[in-house]
Amino acid sequence: MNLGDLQTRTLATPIDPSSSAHGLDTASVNTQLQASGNRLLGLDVWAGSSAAERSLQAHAGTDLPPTTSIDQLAAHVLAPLGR
Amino acid sequence: MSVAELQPLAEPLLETTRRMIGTLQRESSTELRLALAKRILRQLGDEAYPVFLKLLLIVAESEDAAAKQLVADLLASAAQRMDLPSGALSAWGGSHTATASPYESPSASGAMGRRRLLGPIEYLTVWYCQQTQRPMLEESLYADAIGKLIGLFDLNPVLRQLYAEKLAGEAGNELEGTYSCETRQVLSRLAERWKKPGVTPLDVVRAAIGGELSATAMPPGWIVHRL
Repeated sequence: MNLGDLQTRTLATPIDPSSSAHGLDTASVNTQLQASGNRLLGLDVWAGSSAAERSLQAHAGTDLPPTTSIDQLAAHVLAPLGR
Repeated sequence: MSVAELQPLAEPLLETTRRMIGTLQRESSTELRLALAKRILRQLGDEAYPVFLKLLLIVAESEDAAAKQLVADLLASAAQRMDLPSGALSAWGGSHTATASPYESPSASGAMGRRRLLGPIEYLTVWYCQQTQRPMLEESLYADAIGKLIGLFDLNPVLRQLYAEKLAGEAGNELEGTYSCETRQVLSRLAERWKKPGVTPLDVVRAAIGGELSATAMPPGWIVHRL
């Protein structure tokens, strides 16, 4: 499979670009990101997590359908940030 | 905005990182993984490269060995193609405004509007050392980020070798104009130490900043450089 093939693949179930696994206000998240400046690097996203909880495996319910375009994949990845 | 005020961003950033890893793991082709990483970067936008860096740092801070190796291997492939995911910062002596296109040539926008596309370590180092369109990065944040990224990149020996050689080469080039003298010195120290076998990320960080980390916490917004 090459990139050209991927671009033309269709989506079995449309992904809502604004969807968030946690029901967050993505517009607000986007605004906060823009205002975060240098402090963003210092944010501890793992605060309070044990070592065993520091996994990056996807949560149930956020799986992608089997066929999506690269743009849809990127939109799916960035949806929690309101992008 | 303080770090505490940013805490609501933690879960969206974590979820984005999980989704990024999940989609990358699903693709077996390196070409498609690279294309996806670049598409994510493009959709984030020119001014959001620090968000991409934060995603890399979240991977580095995780306990997910497979995710870390995936990212290190992907960046190694990108380094072999001389195509590391990059972000734009204004060049040394360039404009501090955020409106100029990163792709404009000096002749199109004037020398003051020039920007350069920089890989993760170069971006952080220019951010730390130079006046750009962003407020300068504090030493503690720079040191922490560089240490974590070095630890992540060390997972792939090819990435480590290629990236350290690239940094050393760029640090030795005084004519290109992207880096100030201080930036070249920091990059040179970082690269030379990183190339040595057996060094730890902390060794590399100490070499880069030219000594131990400051024990005194600086007030937010204060930038203290070693002279």
